[in-house]
Amino acid sequence: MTAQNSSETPDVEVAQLDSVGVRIGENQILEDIDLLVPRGSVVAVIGASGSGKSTLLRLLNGLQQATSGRVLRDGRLLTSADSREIRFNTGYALQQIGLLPHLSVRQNIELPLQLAQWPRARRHERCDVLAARMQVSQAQLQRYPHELSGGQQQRAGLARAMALKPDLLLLDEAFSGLDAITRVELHDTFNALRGAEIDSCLLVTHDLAEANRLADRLVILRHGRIVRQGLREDVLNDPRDDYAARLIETFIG
Amino acid sequence: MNARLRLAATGLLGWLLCAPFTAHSEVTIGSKNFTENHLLAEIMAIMLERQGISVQRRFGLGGTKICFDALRNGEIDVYPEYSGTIATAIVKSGNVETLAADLEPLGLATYSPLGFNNTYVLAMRQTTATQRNITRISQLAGEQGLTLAFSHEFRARNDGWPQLSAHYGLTLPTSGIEHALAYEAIAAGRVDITDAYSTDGELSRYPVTLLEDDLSFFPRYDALWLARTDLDPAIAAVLQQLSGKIDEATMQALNARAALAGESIPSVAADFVASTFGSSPTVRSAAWPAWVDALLANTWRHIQLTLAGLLLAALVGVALALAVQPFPAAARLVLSVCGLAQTIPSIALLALMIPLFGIGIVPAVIALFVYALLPIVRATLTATNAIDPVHLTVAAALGMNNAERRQHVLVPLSMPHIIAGLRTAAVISIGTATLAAFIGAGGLGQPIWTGLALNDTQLILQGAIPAAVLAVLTDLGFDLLERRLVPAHLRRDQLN
Repeated sequence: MTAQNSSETPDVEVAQLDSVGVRIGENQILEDIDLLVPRGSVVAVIGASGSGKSTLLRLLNGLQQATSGRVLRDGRLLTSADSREIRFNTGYALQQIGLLPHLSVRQNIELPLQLAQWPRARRHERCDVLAARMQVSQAQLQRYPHELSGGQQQRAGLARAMALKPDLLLLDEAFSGLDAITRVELHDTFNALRGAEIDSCLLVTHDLAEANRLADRLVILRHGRIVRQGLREDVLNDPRDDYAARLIETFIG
Repeated sequence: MNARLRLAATGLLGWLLCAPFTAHSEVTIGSKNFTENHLLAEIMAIMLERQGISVQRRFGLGGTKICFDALRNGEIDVYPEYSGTIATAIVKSGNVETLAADLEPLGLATYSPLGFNNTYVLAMRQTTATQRNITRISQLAGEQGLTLAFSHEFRARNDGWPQLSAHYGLTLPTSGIEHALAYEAIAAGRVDITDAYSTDGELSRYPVTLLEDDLSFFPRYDALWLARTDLDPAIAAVLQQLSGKIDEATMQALNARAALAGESIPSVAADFVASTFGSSPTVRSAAWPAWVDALLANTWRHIQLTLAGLLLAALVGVALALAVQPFPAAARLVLSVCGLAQTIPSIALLALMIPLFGIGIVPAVIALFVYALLPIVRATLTATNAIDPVHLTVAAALGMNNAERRQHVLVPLSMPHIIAGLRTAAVISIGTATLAAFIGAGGLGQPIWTGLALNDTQLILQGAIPAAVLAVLTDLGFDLLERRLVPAHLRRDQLN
């Protein structure tokens, strides 16, 4: 279902935020956010903790409701009524991974397919393909999540997020909990899967190096506001904003 | 839980609830939970069976109120009662002369007095009575340092201690004791005065002095039959045959045989009927000892009661907890209501069930269900509240609806605690189910309470030992269930 959507509407942005604000009680978490995720692109949102980047991510699969402005998916206004359809069409992986501990790794990866009522044989087949691409072995598929290393668990978590071939993949600090070498290996896997398994992606990270390795576009967020966004090279070469400039300076060293 | 398992559980539950109702009989006889009442009811049952009338025995019901309610609801047809008890505890006129008129509006009538008056007496430890030179109740006024322990019914009845102490101007403190234990307590010197029935077999065996009711407080307690006015004339005719056949000495002798000589009530009753009306041709074949049959039947009934209550509570409790789980205020309310139900004393809850559900297995199962609910609901709510929020976020991000969230996340992740709650509920139920005998539901409480009433240790053990075995087996059963339903790394012993 999901692959067809993208071919039917090639000229519409996968996701778009128009003057979006999020207010929770007294706190203005996000303010006046304008953001585009062009089809086929990887967009990285960079910011310190508390800058509102996870909240921004969750706007796009409806886990967070905007209190002002418009959230569009494939050119359509996002409403709570179509949340199930939107979530089937939006992969989500997060730092804590959240594999269900009572299910085998295979059952975890196949869970979205089961929810979408794929027949058993097709689920199995799809899981085998994903596991091969994510470098999760057949033996590991039979194990419980806690028996795998953190890196292998996150590979399974990403496989679960990509299972239904969603139009949009959301990664919330998905590589942050891992050691440096494992992280780089996962970055390589991610880049290798672009086009094949990963179409459009919005990821949030506090790590500019990671954003630089994975993303086509950068969005720099500070205190709930976007201070700079654009193509990666443009942003890196021309920060235009004090905070963005300092961030980039630390990265370049 | 898959659909097939659910179907099987529903079927099992239905069968457990319906099985006891397949046997029908022409007349159901009740009795209270003490030797004499048992004996009279059994004598009656044997008389009816000699006439070819089939009898259902609902013996050992909790007390006057339970027997009376059961009679009015049509759960039993007849039971042995005493005129003074009807006057003071049932119609509350206090007058034994107007019983017929007072009972008529209730649709009840008394039948065929048996020929003896089983009045209340105060029994005093003989050595204390001699020391203090007391032979009459009025002499108790002004005495100090006496231990008075009365049956719970006597302490509350209008013809019991409250009015008696007012009548005689007595101000001694009292405590409650199970009647069957009172004689032992007197013999051991722990109690000085207790209430007794004048026909108690123990009165001839224990060193007690009966205090004279010198200010004529107690009314007459003529033993008779209480039944509805529409009692089958054929049955009334059999009751008539017994009229005047048992005097006080006879009754006391029969009670002594059952309560002290260790003869079984059916054999004492059968002896009496045979010697009074001639021997009957009905002889039971006894290739297999009767107590084994009783033990198996009681154990099986106990399992039925416990399992039915537990299954109901598991289905309702888990469903209820999952339904209110997203709403903290509702969850708190449900927990308080379940907790409140838990604080009702079990025997009181059983008594409350009678006007609604009658006596027998249905009210017993409902009471057990009510008791099992709290541990199950609490365990489920505690477990679901303790689930890592990441898993709930993932469930939402995967687009799960409520049913899918329950199936894939809430229930499996709560399973170790739910099983722990079920285990607690099961053990509570096995204990509480012994009280079911008070409302005619049978089970292992039957031998325990009868044994207690008859001071028969062997009979008590016939209930207590299987109950303990059941509790141990239940515990093992839950180990197996946990092994089956929870992967090793998520079991509670791994978590703690």
